[in-house]
Amino acid sequence: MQGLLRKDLYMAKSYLRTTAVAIAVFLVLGALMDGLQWYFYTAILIAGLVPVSMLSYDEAEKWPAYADTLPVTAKDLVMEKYLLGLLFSAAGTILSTFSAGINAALHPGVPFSPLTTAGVFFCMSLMGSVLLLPVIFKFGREKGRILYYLLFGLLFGVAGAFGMFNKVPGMSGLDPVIGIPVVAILWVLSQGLSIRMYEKREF
Amino acid sequence: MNALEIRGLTKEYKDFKLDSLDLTLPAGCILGLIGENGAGKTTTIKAVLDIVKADSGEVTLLGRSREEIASNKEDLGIVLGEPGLSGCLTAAQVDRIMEGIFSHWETETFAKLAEQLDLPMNKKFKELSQGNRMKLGIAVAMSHGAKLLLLDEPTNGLDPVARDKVMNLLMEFTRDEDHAVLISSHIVSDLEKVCDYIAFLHEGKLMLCEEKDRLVAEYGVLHCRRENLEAIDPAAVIGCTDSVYGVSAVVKRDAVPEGWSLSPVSLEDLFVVMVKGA
Repeated sequence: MQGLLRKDLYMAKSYLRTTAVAIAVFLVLGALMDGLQWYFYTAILIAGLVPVSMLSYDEAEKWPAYADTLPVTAKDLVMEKYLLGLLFSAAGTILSTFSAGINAALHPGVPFSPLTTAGVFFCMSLMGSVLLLPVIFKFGREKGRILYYLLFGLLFGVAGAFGMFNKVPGMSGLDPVIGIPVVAILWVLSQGLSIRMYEKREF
Repeated sequence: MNALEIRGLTKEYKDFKLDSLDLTLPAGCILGLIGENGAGKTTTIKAVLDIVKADSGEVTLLGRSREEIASNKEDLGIVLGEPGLSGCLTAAQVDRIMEGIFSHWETETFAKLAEQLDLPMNKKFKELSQGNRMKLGIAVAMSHGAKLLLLDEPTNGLDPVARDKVMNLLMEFTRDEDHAVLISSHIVSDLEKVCDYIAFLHEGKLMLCEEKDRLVAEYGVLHCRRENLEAIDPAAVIGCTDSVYGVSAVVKRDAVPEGWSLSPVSLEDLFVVMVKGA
């Protein structure tokens, strides 16, 4: 597991420089702009989708077939991606919450609760890998890429429908006390599904 | 003890069938699997490793079943073509990655092999030649204390000097009697140098599996006129080619009348005439 994680971190360092710059820009804009908090939502969503990107690179570079020759199980390979997602979601949550905090400080009157904001961000971020990883493990990266964009559209559609873009960074409409356990359960279920999908594939 | 035993291994695809393969690789030996492209060499190795699910058959690796091995490949060194590594990774990074994957990873061995094979440690994988990529795969396979190497076309893309180095490494590896190597290739001359056993695979079927020395002792090349060849039992003539000077036939030595001179047969000649006659 440690070796797999190290591999993905090396790859992320090399391949995701542009993504890192985009996240940084979104966080800065999210912190500074009045009424455009969706910038930090975008940043947290992108951070949460890093394992999906890594999985796409793995497929393109025929890593799954090579991994079959190494002493790693399907469970190791799948769990590592979820762990990577957890790490990037946590990092994204910290940065986005910090950005939201600055936004609240710059715009008096905006109620800001760091724990609530962080909880909501963390849930949103994890949902990317919860929803997409099983699909990519099952269908591969091409269909996964299409779903990637559909998911983005869906999340923004939902966010727009609930008026989240115009709400305060604390997002009073969402409750992380319920969200975190729900997402945790979905995260575990998604892993089980992904392991099953991965085991059925032949490379 | 046998390092590898295969009994009745069968895998059928729409247009190809690996047909009831039997092979035995004793410990301390190198078995060369020779076949044309598409003969079933890769399918055999993948089925042995349970990477592709065989339809039937039994496989024992280092005394363990295929299913047991599939969940713990620490004792195996495997090369299935170029390693599927990310283009951004260097050999030095691969060393650190493998350290976290294999429980008995030997960084010093890896560095030594890289040096022996002239493998650049800090060049990105995407910048390496095909030969250097193969060298990296071989170095990984031999740097974690594996007892059995399963190598599918490991010399593809290597220049003759590098191929010779790899063959020497394999011979060195099997000096330990607990070690063994199954190597497939269509570069027969490589295998001729190092193998103790040779198996010919053609269209998914095993044509023969013999000790190499026995093959060389059993068969010879007879250069003679066509009418002389007709004096020999046809069953002892494996195949022949005509030329303006007569015929060159691969024959069983014991069927040739005394006094006739025979040249030694190369595995390549033997394989080619067997496939043509199949």
